[in-house]
Amino acid sequence: MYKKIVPQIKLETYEKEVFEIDLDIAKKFGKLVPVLQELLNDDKPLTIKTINSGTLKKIITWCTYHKGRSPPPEDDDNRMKHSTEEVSSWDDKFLQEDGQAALFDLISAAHTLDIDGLLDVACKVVATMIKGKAPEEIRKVFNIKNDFTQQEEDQVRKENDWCED
Amino acid sequence: MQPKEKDVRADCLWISNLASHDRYYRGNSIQMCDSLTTIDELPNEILLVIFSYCNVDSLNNSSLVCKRWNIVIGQSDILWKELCSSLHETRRLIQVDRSLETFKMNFKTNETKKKWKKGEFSNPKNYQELSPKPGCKMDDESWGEIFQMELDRC
Repeated sequence: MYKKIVPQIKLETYEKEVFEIDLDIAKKFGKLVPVLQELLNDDKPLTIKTINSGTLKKIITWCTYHKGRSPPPEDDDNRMKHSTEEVSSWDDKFLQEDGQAALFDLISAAHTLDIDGLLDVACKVVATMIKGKAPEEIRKVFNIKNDFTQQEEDQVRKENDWCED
Repeated sequence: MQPKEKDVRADCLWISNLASHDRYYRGNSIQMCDSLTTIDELPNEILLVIFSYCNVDSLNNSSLVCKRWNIVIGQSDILWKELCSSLHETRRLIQVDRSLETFKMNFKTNETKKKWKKGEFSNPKNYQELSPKPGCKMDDESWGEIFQMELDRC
């Protein structure tokens, strides 16, 4: 049925670089799943302008590493979403090694392509960066401008008052 | 065969249109594609995924970061529903009450009750020991439970 031994699809990035991606990797791209068969038969690459080559390379590496590693079982009763413990040291290093902007590129691409596992683990890493930091420190880490007036900030602080120690 | 192929292209077009940041489209713009994304450029639904992995302290600090974060956190019923469902005691209420305010109220009440339960507000030896922040507003039933806990403690 397939022309090639390892079936591949072609994706073209923002830089017009064409990547050949193995079918079993491409299957992890949720948004592409409905059109995979057509893409396999197609010689022209699918252009995804919002993803750059560096990011797509990272995605392929991540998917290749996690291929065959099953995601942790999701138990409805025991689903502790509010925990960042389960980020593996490999993921942590892999996601942070190229800096913050690359991490957000990756998050954005994982969202666009609908790669659930990658989006979740990358967002967990960002949640870890927030954890234990005061608002001013968070602004500094992510380079966010404080657009509250003093009065508005006091108001939010007052609303949060109930639980601060 | 030919028309079908065109359909695929059309199907896939939205992928390109899904851009959360449109700078990739500005062909002639000076700086474009290499890793320029900041957290400000991520859409609200991604911020929500990030916040869903934060604990209450992180959420409170995050809501003070900027107006956008405050709105995203304050107005998400999914986020507060998640927080509520992470607490065993309020789980039974979740099916009945669905409004955002109820979730917030449930959660705050629960946290405050936990503090009373731990004895944080009990038996102060002097005025200075009293916590300046004894918790959120609560209904009569909750105060009744706390009163009973305090009586049991005696």
